[in-house]
Amino acid sequence: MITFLFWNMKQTKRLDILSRLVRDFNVDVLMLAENALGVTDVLCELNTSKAADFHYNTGLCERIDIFSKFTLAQVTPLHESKHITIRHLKPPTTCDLLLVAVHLSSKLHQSSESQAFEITEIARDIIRMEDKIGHKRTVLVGDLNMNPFETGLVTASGLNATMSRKIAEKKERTVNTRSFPFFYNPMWSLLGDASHGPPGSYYYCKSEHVAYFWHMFDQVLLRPDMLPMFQNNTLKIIDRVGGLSLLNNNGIPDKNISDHLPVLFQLTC
Amino acid sequence: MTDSNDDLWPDLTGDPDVKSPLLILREQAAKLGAKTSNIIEAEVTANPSEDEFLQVRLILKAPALNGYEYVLLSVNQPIESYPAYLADEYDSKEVKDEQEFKTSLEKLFKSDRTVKIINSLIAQSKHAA
Repeated sequence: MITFLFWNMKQTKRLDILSRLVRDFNVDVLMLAENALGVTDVLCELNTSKAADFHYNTGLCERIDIFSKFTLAQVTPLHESKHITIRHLKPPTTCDLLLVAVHLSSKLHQSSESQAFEITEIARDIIRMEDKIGHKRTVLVGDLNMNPFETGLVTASGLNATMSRKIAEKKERTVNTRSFPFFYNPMWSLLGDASHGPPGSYYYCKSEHVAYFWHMFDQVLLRPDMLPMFQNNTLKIIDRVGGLSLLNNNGIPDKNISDHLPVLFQLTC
Repeated sequence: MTDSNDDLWPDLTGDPDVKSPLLILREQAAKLGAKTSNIIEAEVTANPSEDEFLQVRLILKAPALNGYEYVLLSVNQPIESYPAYLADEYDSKEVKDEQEFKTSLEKLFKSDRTVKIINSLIAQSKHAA
């Protein structure tokens, strides 16, 4: 079992909260966006036990930092840009995976259409890397700055991410004679009030006609070959760590900590 | 009314005076390999997008690092080549002609960030060898 946690920290310096998250949830792979903490500070904080479990898995993607209980040789970077790092994760005792960590451009800087076009390039890169390592045991994690229902997520040439495990199990779909591999997007099940936990991972409200209030920008997507290793009940949006709420008195993310909430999930690989 | 012998096309010789972003990037990609003894190579990819632009990317490749790749930049190039859109850190910047594209490209290539990335890849490649 490997436990993953992704958090857009929004430059918060709350190392105490990060440390508590890692310890309380027994995190193995920690992926951070907008991390303003120093690498050595994080390592010293996470490695207070005798074992010194955590390593900084360095890369050239400036928008994502990865700390994990695996060495860099076990989390090899294959493909990177400013927004994405694709790693070949090779745990010593279990099967290898392709781990894609992303922090895509904000809607403040790109239109939804531009975001969708950018996603098609990322989708091609993922497929190329899958071809390179010879399998499709791929998990994508990160702040996509798009909701699960937006074009870039659902379009065939984009991430082709469906809300249904049963549909994803068909592996791919064909559009105009071309085949596109599915992702399964379990985040759909966490949208809104009827789910466990908060209604989304990010809250944004502006005085305009179209407003969703809560958004699910922070997501986990899995290729069909990963589905046997994933149980939906291990996927959580974290709004409380120890006795500390990550929400303010209005029940939305406390911006004094971060305007994004962490996402936690486990894989039995 | 035209008959089958009429040629309605103008003289078409191409426009040798205008170099597209794709062509310029291919030239620069070749120069990087020569400059680093092919320790770092650059590949230019071009894919059509759904809005009639060509999405062109310059990808750094480190053969000694198991083919590690870093996408250095991307350009959205229209059929007419210009104005094109060069992606910087946060957004796309419009470049209206070849000269402006070359100026922006030089600035990006010589930026601290780019130099740091290439030097890091060279150092890691030498260490891996």
